Amino acid sequence: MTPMAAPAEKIDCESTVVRTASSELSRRVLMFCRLLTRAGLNVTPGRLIDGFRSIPHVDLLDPDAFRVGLRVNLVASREEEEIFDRLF
Amino acid sequence: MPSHPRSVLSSVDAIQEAFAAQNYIADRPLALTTMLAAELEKPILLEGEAGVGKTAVAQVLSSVLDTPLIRLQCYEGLDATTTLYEWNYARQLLAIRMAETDPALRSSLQTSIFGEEFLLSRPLLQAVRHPGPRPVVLLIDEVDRADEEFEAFLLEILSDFQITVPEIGTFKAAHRPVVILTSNRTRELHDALKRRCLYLWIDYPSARKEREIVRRRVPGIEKALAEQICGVVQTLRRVDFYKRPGVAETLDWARALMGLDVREIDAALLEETAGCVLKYHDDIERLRSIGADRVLADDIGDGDAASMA
Repeated sequence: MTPMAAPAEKIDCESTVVRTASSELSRRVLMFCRLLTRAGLNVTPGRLIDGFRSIPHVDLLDPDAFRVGLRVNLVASREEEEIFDRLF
Repeated sequence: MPSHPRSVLSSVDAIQEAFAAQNYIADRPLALTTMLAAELEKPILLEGEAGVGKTAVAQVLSSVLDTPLIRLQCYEGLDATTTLYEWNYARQLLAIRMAETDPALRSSLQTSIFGEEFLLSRPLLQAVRHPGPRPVVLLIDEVDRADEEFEAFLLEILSDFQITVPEIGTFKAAHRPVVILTSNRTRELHDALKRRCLYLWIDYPSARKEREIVRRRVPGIEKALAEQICGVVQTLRRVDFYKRPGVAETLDWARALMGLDVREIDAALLEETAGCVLKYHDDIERLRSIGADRVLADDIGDGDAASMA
């Protein structure tokens, strides 16, 4: 996916987000993903979208479920799982 | 038999219960991942050491969903094309030989020689052609043993589940299979494949979880013995053996000890039955040098756990 495609993907995921969660929640998730990227994870637009797509299926009152529900979309190794959990 | 087995994947609790009914202890992250895989229609990639129960997840899931399990076992040198289909050359040759003397056969064979009759569907085509009524579970086991070329090939299949047999036509899956990939991490898989999947690392179970697994999978075992077995295995896993015991080894050992009518494990018995938990000669020698009695007492230090330089 070329960098030029990124803004369009972000708009797409915004509309998904409006359907799924409050804008505050989505803003925080986006910020968290930027944190993950800085920590070395490869958070592609596709992964980000799938992360948001997972949110409606998760019991938001269960913090572990919310964490894991996001994580399975955004990590690619045991080490990345640990980084994710630490930053979360 | 439930009328809509897919609804059993509707909640984390329901999944844990359904797996437990099959005597598989699924922790909540695994149950959640399974649920998301069904909802998002994404494959699951389970990565972890050998023998922690990754393959079993697919087997249990197929039972829970009351749907067949199609297994593609990967290995070094796996040729991607053989995972789709092959032609039954032997049968084709036979048909050709028979047609040599029979003109009627000869003319019909011209159209049928590359047809269904002689087509051997391999796992990926089987998964695509599965008629239903429910999606099948497709297990792609130990994908790390295959090569990068196979990964690229797999990516194509996983995206649209469409396979073309040039002589016959294009098959498209009526029901998208539930796909589980496993890897023992003998090499790093490409990020392209990983991001196609929901990723979960499967660790060795905790002592408590392992006791529960033994209790369920080795019915009738004495509680004290099961506790001792799990304790020893937990201790052994702290040592960097070439191959640490997995859950499968724990269960094997438990069954063996139960068969020997053992009440309590002593150092001598641990050494004698070490082959149940350690599969490499060097590892068993290592156990001996550390001392079976110290392992039993969980009295091993960092010096024992790490190999000497």
